[in-house]
This record gives sequence, C-alpha cells and structure tokens, in this order.
Amino acid sequence: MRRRDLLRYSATAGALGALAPIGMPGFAVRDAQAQGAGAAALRWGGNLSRTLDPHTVYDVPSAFTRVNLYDCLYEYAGNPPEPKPLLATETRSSADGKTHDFTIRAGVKFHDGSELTAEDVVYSFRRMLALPQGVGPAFRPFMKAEGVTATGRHSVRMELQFPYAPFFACLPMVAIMNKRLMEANTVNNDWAAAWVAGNDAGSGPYKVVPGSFRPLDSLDMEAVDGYWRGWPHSRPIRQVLCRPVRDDATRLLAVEKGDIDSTHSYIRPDQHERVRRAPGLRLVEEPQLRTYLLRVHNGRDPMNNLDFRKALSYAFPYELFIQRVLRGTAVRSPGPLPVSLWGHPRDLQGYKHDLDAARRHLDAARRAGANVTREITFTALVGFDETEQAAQLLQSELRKIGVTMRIAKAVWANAVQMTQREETSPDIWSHWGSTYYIDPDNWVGQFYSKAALGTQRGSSWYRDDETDGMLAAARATLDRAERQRLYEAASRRLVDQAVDVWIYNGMAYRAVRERVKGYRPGAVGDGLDLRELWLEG
Amino acid sequence: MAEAPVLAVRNLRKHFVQRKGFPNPVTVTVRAVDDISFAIRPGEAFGLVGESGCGKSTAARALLRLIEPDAGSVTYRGEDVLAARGGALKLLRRKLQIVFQDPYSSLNPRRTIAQTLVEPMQVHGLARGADALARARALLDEVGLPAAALDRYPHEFSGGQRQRIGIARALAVEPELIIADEPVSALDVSIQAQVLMLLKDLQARRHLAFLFVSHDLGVVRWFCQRVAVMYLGRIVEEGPVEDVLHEPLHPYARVLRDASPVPDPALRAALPRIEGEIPSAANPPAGCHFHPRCPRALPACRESFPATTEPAPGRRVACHLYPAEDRASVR
Amino acid sequence: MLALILRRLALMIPVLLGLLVLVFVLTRIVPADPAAVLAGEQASPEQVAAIRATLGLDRPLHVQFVRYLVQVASGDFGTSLYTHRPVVQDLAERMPATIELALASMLLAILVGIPLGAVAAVRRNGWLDQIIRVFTIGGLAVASFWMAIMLQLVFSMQLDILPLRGRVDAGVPAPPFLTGLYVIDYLLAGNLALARHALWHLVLPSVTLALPATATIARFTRSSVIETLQKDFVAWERAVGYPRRVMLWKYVLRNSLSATVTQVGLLFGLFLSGSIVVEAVFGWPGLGDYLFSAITTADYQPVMATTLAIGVIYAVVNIMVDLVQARIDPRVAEQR
Repeated sequence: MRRRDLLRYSATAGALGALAPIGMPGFAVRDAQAQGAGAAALRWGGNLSRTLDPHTVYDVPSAFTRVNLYDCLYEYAGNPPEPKPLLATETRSSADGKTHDFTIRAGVKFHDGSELTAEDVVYSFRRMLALPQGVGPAFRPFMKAEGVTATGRHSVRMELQFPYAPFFACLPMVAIMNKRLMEANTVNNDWAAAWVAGNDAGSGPYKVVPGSFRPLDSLDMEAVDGYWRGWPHSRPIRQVLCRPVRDDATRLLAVEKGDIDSTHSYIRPDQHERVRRAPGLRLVEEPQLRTYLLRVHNGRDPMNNLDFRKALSYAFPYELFIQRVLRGTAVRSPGPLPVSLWGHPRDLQGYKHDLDAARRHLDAARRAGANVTREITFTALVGFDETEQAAQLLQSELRKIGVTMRIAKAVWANAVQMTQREETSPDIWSHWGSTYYIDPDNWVGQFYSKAALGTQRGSSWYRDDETDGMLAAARATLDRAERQRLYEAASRRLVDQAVDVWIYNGMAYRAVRERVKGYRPGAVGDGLDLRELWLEG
Repeated sequence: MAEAPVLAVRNLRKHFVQRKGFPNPVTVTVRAVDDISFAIRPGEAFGLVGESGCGKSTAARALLRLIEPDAGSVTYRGEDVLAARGGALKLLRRKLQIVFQDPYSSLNPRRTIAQTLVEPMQVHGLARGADALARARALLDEVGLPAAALDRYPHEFSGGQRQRIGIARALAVEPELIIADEPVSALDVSIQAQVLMLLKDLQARRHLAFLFVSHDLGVVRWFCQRVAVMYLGRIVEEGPVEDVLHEPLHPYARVLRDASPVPDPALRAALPRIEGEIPSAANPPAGCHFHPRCPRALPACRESFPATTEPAPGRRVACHLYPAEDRASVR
Repeated sequence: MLALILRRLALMIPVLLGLLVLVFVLTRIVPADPAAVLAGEQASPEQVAAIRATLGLDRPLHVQFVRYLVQVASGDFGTSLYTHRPVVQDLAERMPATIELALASMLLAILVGIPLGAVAAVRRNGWLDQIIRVFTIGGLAVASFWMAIMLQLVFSMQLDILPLRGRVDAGVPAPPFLTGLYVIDYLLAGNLALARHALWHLVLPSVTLALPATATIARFTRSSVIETLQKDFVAWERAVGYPRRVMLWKYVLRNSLSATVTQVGLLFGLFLSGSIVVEAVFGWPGLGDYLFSAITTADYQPVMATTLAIGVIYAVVNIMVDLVQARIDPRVAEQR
C-alpha cells in the first residue's frame, strides 16, 4: 500500500468501523465475480435501446444492436462515411433511377443456421414498410411493399415510385431478418414485433443470449462462430454484457472502477479532464454529423420578418456558446448542413455574433411594421441543459437590443406535440439534427421541404417554392455533381433568408477503458463494429 | 411524640435549574421544594395543601425519589430512603406507594387489569401464577370492582373505576403508606365521595398511613388528621386539621381557608380577595414569600424569611407575627 | 382480524379507482403525443395520425378511460408502446426489486431509528441526545443523491468493499424466481455466496434510502418516548420498583410506538418515491426507474399500471401497519 493510499484509508477508516461487525464483504464480491462472467467479457456501458427490433426504432442506441446483431444490404464505410455494399454483391440501377437490382451474397447464415436468401430481404423490406414507426417512414414516401420482389434465390428487385437519390444512403437502415423465424413467431399479424423486441432474427456477428434483454437496462450478446465476414483480431470479444448506467455521476464512477468498459457517448465537456486524468481510462472523440440549431417559427409575427430573423441570427453568441458551454468540443456550423458533408458550401460565411448588425436589422423590422415589442418564447427541452443554456445566452443578448424573450420548458414528447400545428408551434425552440442516413437530404431536405410541415422537422414553418423545388430536384437525380450544386444553392438561400439559427456540429465523447483495443466509432449513432475490438490483459 | 413516625421528612429540597433564552441563555432556578420538614405517624392521614404550583406534588414525588431531591433526608421507620440501594430500595418501594391524580394517564393502556395488578406482585416476589391472580381478584373486590375486570383494558373503564384500579394496584404490594396525589380532583363530584369513602375505609381496615396531597381544604378536613400548608415551596403552617382550618395562624392559611368553598352561603358572601398576583416560584419575593399579598405584612417580612415557631402545642407556623421569644424552633 | 383485513382490502378498491382516474387525467392533459414519439422523427403527419387512430388515442377521453378500465378489469395491463413487452412482465421483474430495496430500507430505518430515538429520549439533553439530534437533522437535510454519491465514493471507490451499483455484478445470473427478492431467492436456492453478494449490493442503496426515514423515526420515537416517560403510569412503574431496562423496552417503548408505526406506513410512501432517485443513482432496476422512462416517453400503459402497482403496495403496507397497530394498541383493535 502506497503512502497516499494509506492516508486515504485511515481517513475513511472511521466510517468503515460502522461496517466492521458484518465482516469483510469485499471477498464476497470477488467470489461472486469469479462465479459470473470472466474478465474476457466486454462490459458495454453505452445506452441500450428500448427494443431489439431493428425496424421499429431508429435512434443512437438502437444502432448498436442493429449493426452487431444484423446485416444490411449496404453499410457505411470510409471517412466521411459513404454507403457501400454489404450483403449486396452487385447493384444495377436503371437509367431513370427507379429500378434497382441487387445480387445477394450467397452462403450467409442466420444465427439459427439457415441461409439468408432473397426471400428474407423481401420479407424484411416489406415488414419495414408495413410498420408505421421507426425506419419505415423514411422509405414510405417513395416505395411500396409490392415494389420489392425476389427475382431469384439470391436476387432482389426494388422499384421506386419515383427516382430517389438518397435511396442508397437509406439502405444501411434496413436490417435483414430471418423470414422463417419471424413468421414462426408472428402473432395476430404483428410481424413478430412482440417477439423480436426481445430476441434476434439476424445474421450479424453477435447473437442475443436468450432472455437476457431488459429494455434500457441489460443485454448479453455472444459472438457467432464462423460469421461470414470473419473476425479481424485473433482474440475477439466472445461475450458482450451491456449494462448502461443511467445516472451521470455513477456512470463515471463505474467506468473508473472498471465495472463497465465504456460509457455512452455523451460525456459532458466539464467531465473531459477528469476522464483524461483517470488511470486506465481514455476519452474517445467521435466526430458527429449531428447538427444543433434553433428553430424559428417563420410563419408568425415578428419572426415572419426577414430582418427580425437576421437580428436573431446576429444576436446569438456562437463563439461564446461553443467555447464556454461546450468548452470547444464542437465546430461552428454556419448553414443547415454538417460542415464535413458534401453539399455544404465550403465558402459559406453565415452569421456571426454582431449586436450592431442585430440592432440595424431590428430597426428595419420595426420600420416594416413587425411587432418587435412582443415577448417571444424560447421552448427549451427538459433534460437537455444545453438547450436551456442556449436559451439563456440568446435571452441576455436580445435584452441588450431591446427584444424580450421568455424561456419555457417542455419535455421532448410535449415539444413534438406542439410542433404539429402551426398555431401551437413554439416561437423558437432547439433540437439536434441527428444522422438517419448520411445524405444532405437527411438535414436540409427533411427540415425545409414543404412535406415536413406538421412534424417537428418542419417546425420552422418555412414555405418557399424555390427552395422546395431545389430540394425535390436534388432527390430526383442520381447525378452527384448536380445534387451537390443544388444542395449548395439551397443552403445559401436558406442562410440568406435566416430561416433558422444554425449553431454547431458536435463531437461525441465516450470514456473507454484502456484495456479495450481496436475501438473505432460507428458511422451512425452507437453503430460501432464490435468485431474489431479485443481486450488486453 | 406519642409514636415513632412511619415517615419523617427533613429539610427536603428540590430546585429545578433551567437555561432559557437564545442567544444569551439565562439560568433560572425554580425553588419548587425548599427545605420542608414534616412527619407522618403510623395509620395517620397527613394532608399537604396549597395552591397549584406551590410544590406539593413535587414534594410527594421527591420523597419517593421519582424525582431525585437535591438535599434533605427522608426516613422510613428510621431507614434512609434517599440513600437506599438495591434490595433495600426495592423493599422501600413496596412500603411506600402512590395513587395519582389523573386516572387516565396513570394506567398503562397496553396492559390488562390483570397484568397491571399481577406484575407488581411478581416484581416484588409476593405471588405468582394462579396465586397472584387470586390476589388480584381479591384486590378488585376490595376496591369494589368485579373480577370480570381482570381481562379488560383501562380504556374500557370510567374515571372513577380507573382510580379504583389505581388504588388496587397500589395495594397489590401491601404498602404501609400511600401517597395520594390529588386522588379525587380529576373525578366528578359524585364519584369523589365514593373514592374518598373507599380510601377512608381502606385506611381503617389496613391501618394505612396517608400523605394526602390536595388543594381542596374540604376534602383534607374530612380525610386527614393533620395538615401542612405550603406556599411557594415552603411549609408555612402545620398542625391538627381542626385547629389549622378552624383557626389558622398564618395569614396565608387564613386566606386559603377563607377562599375555599364552604357549604355555608352566609360565609361565602364575606370571602376576602387574595390581593396581588401569585408570585412565581422561579423568582420568589425576598423575605417572607407571602408578604406582597399579605394583609398584615410587617417591615420585617420584606427582610427575612421567618423562622418556624411553635406558638401552641402541636402547632407550628413560619410567620413574623409569631415572634421568636416563645418559639421552639424545630431546627 | 380476518374481517378487518377483508374490510380494509375492500376499502382499497375505491381508493385505487380514484388513483387511476387521477393518473389517467394527469397523463392525458399533459400535451405529449405518444403517437408522434412512437412514429419517430421521419414520420409524416398522416403517419402519426394513423398511429394515433390505431392506438385509439383519437377517441374521447371518457371512452378511452372506460376501455382502459375494462382492459384492467380483465387482468390486462397492456403492453408498452416501445418495447412491445406486456407491462405485467415488466412489473413482475421490477416490482420485487423496488420492494426488496424498500423493505431493506424500512428494516434498517426501524432497527436504527427506534433505538436512537429511545436513547435520545432517555438521555434527554445529554451529549448523546445532542449527537443524535445532529444526526437526525443531518439525515433529513442531506439530499439523497449527494448521500448516494458520497457513499459510493467512500465504500465503493476508496475502500472498495461494497459494490457501486446494480443488484448483482454484470454476468452474475439472477436466482430462480421465487419471491423476486434476490437475497432471499439465492438463499432458497442454497447459494450462500450469491445471497451475500446480493446483500452487499443492497447495502448502499438501502442506507441512502433509509437515512431520512431513520431520522424521522428517531425524532418521532424520541418525542413520543419523552411524552410517555412523563405519564403517571411510568412514574408508578418506577415507584413500584420495576427494573429500569424492562420498563423502558417493554412498557415505555411499546406505549410510544403508536405514532412511530403510523409514521412507518407513511414513510413507505417516501421509500417508493425516493426510490426514483436512488434507483437511478445505484442502477437499481426497479419501478422508479421504469416509471421515469415511461413518463418521459408518454408510454401510458406502463405509467398507469406502475402507478397502480405503487398504489397497491402502499395500500397493502398501510393495512399491515394498521394490523401491527392493532396488535400493539388494544384501543385501536377495538375501534375497528
């Protein structure tokens, strides 16, 4: 025992005295650990989804199980990530961009040993399209169930209703499920939703230990012997125990103690130093395409006035927010697209914090008859401190130029409800633009098309025929150069119109124990490839 | 004295010290019992009277060591009660028993009457089992309650019945002296008489001595042979009941006598008022504590507390009106 | 006694019905739309509306409520919108965890709180009383999440003698389900080592949860013991020479516990509500944790069923408290 440890020990020995009569419990803990999982298991502390069903939920934690339990036709690869074939070995698209023929890899086995065939692909796409939530809504606008057909044991044809360029970027969203197994577990035409919520029907590198899944709470997975893509490391992780920690403080303690090998990817900036200094820990920086923006209600006075919106855009203290609140863990994103993604104009300047400019535009808005004296409301999200901090900063800057802003709070579900109708939609609120599929359409197309009105994605209540036309055209052509031109033009137009206040592209930070080697962040959400990992020591 | 006293109290003292106030606490000494002395003969009922707050209940509890007194001596048949330990103390506790004023708080609500009566016998090794139960039954009979009461709880009885149980409980250990602390004052007037009759009856039958603490002169006159009058922690007069109440020597005893209800309407009309406020025992007036209210106060009364004198045989008084020449101090 | 139990159980029905109405109204007036959350961010308004219709959320409130009652009356507590798991299954897994924690905390609070209060009363204004007073005020004033973190830092991180979180370590198999209380189930399964293992996991969360309750119980016990000590029957018991110890524990304490026992019933509610924080900090997979995540996603069926379950636990505990009360106080027994 080192001297410092001894001091610590004596400092707490008084408290220990109270426990002395009940013996030395420490030994019991270690006994039990020996009985349970060995040190060879990865104790994953990332967030866990509410369901293992890869079709009904599409969010950051669900990517973890989707990627590791299932395979898809395409996956994201490279940096920046692009869609690349996975189960598909060959893809042929018609000239009009509506018909796509896929050749499916032969010899891929599901976890029950049966072979993955075109039938399974068709079943999976039809199921995805039939279910009203999760992945389906992204495909339903351009695809019908009958448009997916098997043309052979290992070939599938997909016919779109109209050409849809983000189609390939969407393919990694759709996990291929074991049709036979799913049909055996279907009750009341539920597409086996109840069963697959707690089990897997996949062909991925890992499989679920039956009965181990508890939503949000725990899941045990085992490596699949003879997985078709193989195992890059000689001693891959055989057993994965997912044990997310709900509480912020406990989570860090747990990873410091080694109870878990990694945390989720939302380690707060004020905790970074602590993680960096902790022995046996490292802080992994995961670049994110995720954007953060303030949504401004363009349909309501005074925000329907361009100068008033510009005043808002000039009033927000971007640098202060990024440096102080985020401690420099993000980059300024001047437009609607992630700065590293194609389609974002490299020379786009956007707005900077400039109260004089804000005052000039406010005066202009006042002269034009905008009701600039009305108290506007910023609806911050409960449980997301950052949204409240952004609100407070904006509030204090606006006060300097004579605009009064009130801060209200709402839980996510409540905010979503509000944004469904123009009358109830908040004056200003804020959210993140997460990655569903890696394509500019995921951000600019989803947020500023007229089709988005009535959902939280369209909560700017922005109606502009020219922008809408550009976004529609960019979806309809497969010509990458033309698409890029359209997205850049749309981005500039949106910035000129100061539709929203775009703030930053974030980084995600995860605390990972040193013994975990080969760690590489996933392209989307928590979708890291566990096959690449091994444990040292 | 004709017979050796069963209980002798000498210079018993109990002061309560309190620290009150924040942030500057002040120490206040309440002289609840201040050097009182008296003696009770076997089979005698000795009354201790005074207004509420005069210290009479404290004195009763202090001599039983329910509150440890600060000074003085209490001897039971020559044995020092205050110094007793262990077995000797236990025996003393058997011989000196107490009956409380409030029949509602004096019985343990969680014990049946049988338990209440039998347990003290067991504690003192007087009886156990069926024998103890038989004795309990006999005790109930003696205080006029049916044997069926044994299996019931205190809350099932009226105040008067409870007081009878309290008396039976005191009798359970065969005491020689009972300290009755206002035993009937909490009861309805109609019940009071019955309980007093019972006590009187028991006194005669068992040859019990009583220390009868009361504020009611009428009850004391009827029940006691001798009486001591207390005022602010001190005994101001003592003597045979008839003499003290018929012709009080101390002005306070006279005021008290005159203020007490007398079954004669003609006299009641002439009641004098006790002048002035009742002083606090925490801050008693210098000299004779009674002087601010005394109709016959002398200059000396402000100066010093009067010594106890014996102006007539068997009568003692602490008052400057009865000068020291013919005193026979008890000290 | 049986009649008393049956009567109290019958009385529970209107209480729980009222609770259901209250929670139903509360969940529905909060303008959160489970259909929109369920549909996900990619969904169009029509898709959300379709989900809403499927779930019956477009019906008038009273229709929805009657439907819910019929459903509950037939023993169906619904399924979670998001997990597709029957709520009953979730409750069966999580309720025992909460009950185990609450029972352990209650036991701890009683076993520590009553003696502390009694000692404080007997040594009134002495130094021991002062120390206990500081403890009780501290116990009530300290925020439980802070306490939890301190306990974790000292006993888990520094001394490394107690586990940080969870009911068992990752990878330790759960015991075969009998009572759902791990410590007991491991014991019944004959696995002493794992029973101890589960017991050590119980220590920190239950100490955290028990602390304010211990303080409350100690304070109540102290004041009621003081009150009892001033009763004449205690004076008499002393006057007749009862042994001091017997008197204090057998007579005084028993007469003083009425208020404390009532308090224990109320404190159980505190355990159930306090468990939301404690379960989150210690990763205890109980009802608090479950209810919290259900509320934040407007998952009505689990919210309703969990509330009902907590209501039932609370009501049953209070019936038990009444029975205990009747045993220690003959007056109560007679009134019922």
